[in-house]
Amino acid sequence: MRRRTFDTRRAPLFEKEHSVPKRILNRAVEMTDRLAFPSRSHHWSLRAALAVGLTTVVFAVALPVFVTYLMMVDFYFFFPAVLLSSILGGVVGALASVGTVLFWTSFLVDLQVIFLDLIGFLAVSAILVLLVEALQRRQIREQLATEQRMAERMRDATQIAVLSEEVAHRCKNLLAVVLAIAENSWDAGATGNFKENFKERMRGLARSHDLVEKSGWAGVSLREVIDGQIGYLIRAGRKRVVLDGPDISLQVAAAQSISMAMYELATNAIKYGALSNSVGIVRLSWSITESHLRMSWEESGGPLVRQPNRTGFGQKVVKKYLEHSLDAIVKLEYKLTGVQWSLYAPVQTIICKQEHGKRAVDIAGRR
Amino acid sequence: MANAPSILLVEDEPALMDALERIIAAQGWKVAATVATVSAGIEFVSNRDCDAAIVDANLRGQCSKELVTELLRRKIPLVVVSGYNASNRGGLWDEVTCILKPFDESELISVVSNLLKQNMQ
Repeated sequence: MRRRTFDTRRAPLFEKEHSVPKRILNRAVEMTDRLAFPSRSHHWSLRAALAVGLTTVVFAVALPVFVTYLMMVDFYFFFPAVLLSSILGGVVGALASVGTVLFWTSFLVDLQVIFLDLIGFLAVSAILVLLVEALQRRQIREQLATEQRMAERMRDATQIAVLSEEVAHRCKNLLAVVLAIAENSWDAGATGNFKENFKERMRGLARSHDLVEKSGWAGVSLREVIDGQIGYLIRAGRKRVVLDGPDISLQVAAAQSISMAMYELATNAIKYGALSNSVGIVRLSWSITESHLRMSWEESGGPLVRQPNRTGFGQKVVKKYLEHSLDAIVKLEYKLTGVQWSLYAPVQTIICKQEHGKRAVDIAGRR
Repeated sequence: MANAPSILLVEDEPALMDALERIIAAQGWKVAATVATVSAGIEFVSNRDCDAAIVDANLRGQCSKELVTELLRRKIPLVVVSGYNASNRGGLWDEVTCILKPFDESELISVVSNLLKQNMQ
């Protein structure tokens, strides 16, 4: 027969044990606990006050007098033993010591003669045992609660440290991106004017950053990334931009890279491609397998496409940058009928699998 | 330069990598490889050689200490580029030269030149 196993974390003290003696013991300990150590956080009700007052009177006055009167000191000698064994051995220990006392006494005296003394002894012993047990359980409970609080605090602190490191890192990188954009927008060969190019790209960057922040630096929705960069085209363009693919939770870096690429592809389509006339169509589709994300941007119906004679910043963003930051394979083709772009990237650089807290702890653990 | 020194670039942010490549090329140096992760960096140095390395302190959320240790072991001079300043770095990079992001082009060039000179001696 298979042995039953307990989930010790869930019920460390009062396990779900159905044996009657155990249930009676647990109830008795709980009641003793409630009577002897009333919770300080609660307001005293009249009944509780009466109960405590009564208990105090019984414990402090009536019981000692009663015991002394009945027992004529005899059994007093055994109380230290009962107390000690119940502290060290719990209920079982106390039962053993009480049993031993009864066993030896039965040799010396006729138990029937000292019947009342015996009852007194058993009653006081029971109260002692229950008090010790209640105290010990209370202590264990408090210890567990303290440990849990400490663990939580540690986890919070680690999380904050890791998160702030990551934020610092990403902020500095973002500045680097801004510098690169500025330099490239300034590039003499770039078309349009610097101010407009730069401002638009900054707005695109800010939109993707908003999403990252909204997500709490964890998974960013691919659909929201796309919507952030080209949503206005979808809403304005009467089905000229067609989206097809499931929503995916992206890592922060992937969200930023893909976001920038979407911005550049859309800008190019509006300036020279399928969206520069009134009939062209863009089809943006993606699918995910166990191992890879495949994404494609296909333009059709635009003016005839010419291969550009220089590599601009936009081209770098949609190919080289993506390949580098996502370990991806990117194809960018200037077909006569329209620009065709495709991305093939391993899920390791794309998908955000965990919520942030867990990941933060993982990173901290690796250090 | 007949024998242009080759520099290994380890950086996960493509825009920064782009800037690094431009700086290295402008000096007439060669780019040994461009890698974005600790494991790719370690794989490179265990198969091929380079004269110096520029390493980002944080690669895709992972601390690049392991790669730095490997480079030190192979006696490849390196400079660490970091987003955090010394006070919150906690002595992790005490043994190596560090420069802060966003770095100044001339600062990077002078640091790498010094590394290369030391290596020649």
